[in-house]
Amino acid sequence: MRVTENQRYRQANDKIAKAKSNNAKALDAVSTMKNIHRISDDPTGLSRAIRYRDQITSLDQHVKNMELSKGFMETTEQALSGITDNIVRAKELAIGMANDTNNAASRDAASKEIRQIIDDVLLLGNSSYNSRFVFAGFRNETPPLTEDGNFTGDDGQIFVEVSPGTFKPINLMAKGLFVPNEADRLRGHENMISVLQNLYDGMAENDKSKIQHSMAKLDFHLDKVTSYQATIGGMWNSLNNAQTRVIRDSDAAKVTLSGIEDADAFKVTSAFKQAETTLQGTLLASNKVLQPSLLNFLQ
Amino acid sequence: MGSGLFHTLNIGEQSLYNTRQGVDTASHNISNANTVGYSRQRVNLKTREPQLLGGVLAGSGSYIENITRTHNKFVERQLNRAQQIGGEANGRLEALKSLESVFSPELASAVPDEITNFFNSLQELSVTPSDESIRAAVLESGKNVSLAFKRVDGDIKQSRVDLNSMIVQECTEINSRLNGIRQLNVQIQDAESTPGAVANDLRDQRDLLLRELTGKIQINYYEDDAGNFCLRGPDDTLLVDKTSVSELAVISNDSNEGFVDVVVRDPSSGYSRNVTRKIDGGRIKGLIEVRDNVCSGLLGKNNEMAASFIGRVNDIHAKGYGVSDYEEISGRAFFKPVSDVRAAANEMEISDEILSDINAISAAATPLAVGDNIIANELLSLKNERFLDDGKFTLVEFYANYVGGLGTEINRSEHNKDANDIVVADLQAQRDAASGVSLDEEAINLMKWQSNFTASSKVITTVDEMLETVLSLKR
Repeated sequence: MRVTENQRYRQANDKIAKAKSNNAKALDAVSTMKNIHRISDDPTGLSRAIRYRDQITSLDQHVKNMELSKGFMETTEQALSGITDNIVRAKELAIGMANDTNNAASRDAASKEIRQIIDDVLLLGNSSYNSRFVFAGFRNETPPLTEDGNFTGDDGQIFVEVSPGTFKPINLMAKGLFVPNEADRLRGHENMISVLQNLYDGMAENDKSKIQHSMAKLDFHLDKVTSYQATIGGMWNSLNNAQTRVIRDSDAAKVTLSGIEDADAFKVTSAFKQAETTLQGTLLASNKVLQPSLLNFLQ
Repeated sequence: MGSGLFHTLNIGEQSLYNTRQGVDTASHNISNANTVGYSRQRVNLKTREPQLLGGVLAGSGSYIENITRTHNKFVERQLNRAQQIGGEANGRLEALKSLESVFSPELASAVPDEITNFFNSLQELSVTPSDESIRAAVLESGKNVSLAFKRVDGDIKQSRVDLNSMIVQECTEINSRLNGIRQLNVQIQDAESTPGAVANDLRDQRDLLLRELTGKIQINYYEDDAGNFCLRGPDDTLLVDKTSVSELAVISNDSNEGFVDVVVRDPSSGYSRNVTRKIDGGRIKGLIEVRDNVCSGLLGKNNEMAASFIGRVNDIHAKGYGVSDYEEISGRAFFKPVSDVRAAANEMEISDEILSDINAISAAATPLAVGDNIIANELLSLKNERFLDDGKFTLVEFYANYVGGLGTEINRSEHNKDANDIVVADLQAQRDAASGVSLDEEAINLMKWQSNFTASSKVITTVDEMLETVLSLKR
């Protein structure tokens, strides 16, 4: 092959340009430790990366949501267990005071404790988390329980998204907790506060039959509260499990995303070293190749 | 013709002239060693007709038959063809590269990021529907989503404008080369009118112009018997015919948003033909394709996504109730409804009601229920709902898909360009191998002609001595 000046220069030029461009790419990879800088670097990897990045951000948000919702449920749970304690205490007092051994004075003293219990139950029924009343359903910016035991909330069920497309309830539909439904009312049941109020009246008026009458009704409410307690406990568990799952999913997605986006440190550094050596070699060789000419040897 | 010493003197003189021309040509080659498009030249010597002298045929020296350039027109034709394809790949890649940055994965506020943020703020709204600061966050993230869609729209449109002016620029450059070739046709005609003359340098220039031209636009060419180049362009239009030339003109096309069409216009007849969609090769083709097909495609995808997003969000949002002043009023849009899908991204805005009062954001499905998050949850479900492209993709999938498509396209163009570059480089190497100047070779040529010159001079001094001897005979 006939080698001409232009060819030699062009060749040297092309090779140096190529080596420099490889060098620049390697430098990019080393300095950022990322594989994808432009969408053409790895188009399929890129579209997967976009989806994973979206997934991770959403999952992290879900974890945050569930943390808040767990707080909401824990407040609900604590309120319920407080109400249980109070009703149990009211029942103990009722059993004690229904006995003939107690006189009007001791019943009057017990009535004071019942008053305390009523106030407590009202307070617990109007428990709030993050300035939202946990038993009020959707109308959760106003206290759901009135002084006389009426329920002003609604049966709105609040759902929260716990993983893409999956919603879980976080509140109890509490109307039935404080106010008996139609069928129970026909069977003679009253709302929780009224029952306690009757018990109080019985104690204060030293009316033994009224006290005895309240005892059965208290049992009805005690059963209800414990069953609600079990429900919220179950809901909390299910949310907690979902949260564990989401955290695990998010971690897995992060690992996958890193596999797509992040450069292998060893690989990129050795590639950089290689590109550097190639560039130096090319420059050195070009220098040697371009110099000699017959003209250098003629006097 | 006489024989004798004067004849010998003539041979010597002619030889001196020949060798001087040889040195001239070698130095011409050396001085043009780095000239683009130059082909090395050779002095072709020929033996003179022998003469019958006293019954013998005696040689009578040499003369310069002509000076030719080393030129392989088959390689040249291949190179032109490769340039045609290479130019298109180059133009296409360059144009696509300007679009690539619009979707750079290093951007933190791209459309999918903003959509993710929007849904995250809805998540928070779903947990605490009445919280003012969360409502404000929903409004802000809604604004950011529209900004992201708008930015993509605006950036691609800007690219189209840039590409358009590149196309106009290309036409100007093509015209100047067409004119150059026409002028050189005339000059070569003139120069070669004396028999045997070859206008090497002018032909080199014309070949160079042609090579530049084939990289820019589709060209078919042939050389007629008189040595003129005739060039046919896209749609078989006659661009250069001997000494007449057509020009490329641009006219704005109203049905293509005022972007230019390319027409070939014959100045003598005034007749012009629109060849915009018929250009098959060259850089201008790559530019036009990206401007009209790729950009429109991307704009369409962005608008389709924006319009579907706006439509779905609004449908759900309209069912819901807000808080305080809006706790009993439903039927509001979240984004301003779009008048035309093709302008969806550009016109994307938050609706005036929500802009003026964040309480108008609807999270509740029932009136007067501040804690109701049913609508917020329904909006959340949109994120994983496949409602784009006839139910094939979710929002983020749709984006990932079409941007991935663009990435693949750029990737393919890059490979295409690399492959063509190799072909062109190879052909250029072939051309250089044949036509390029080798300094070593020219050094040898110089030595060759120099020693020849010395020898020819010796002939003349010898004849001179001989003449003196002859003249001294007379005394």
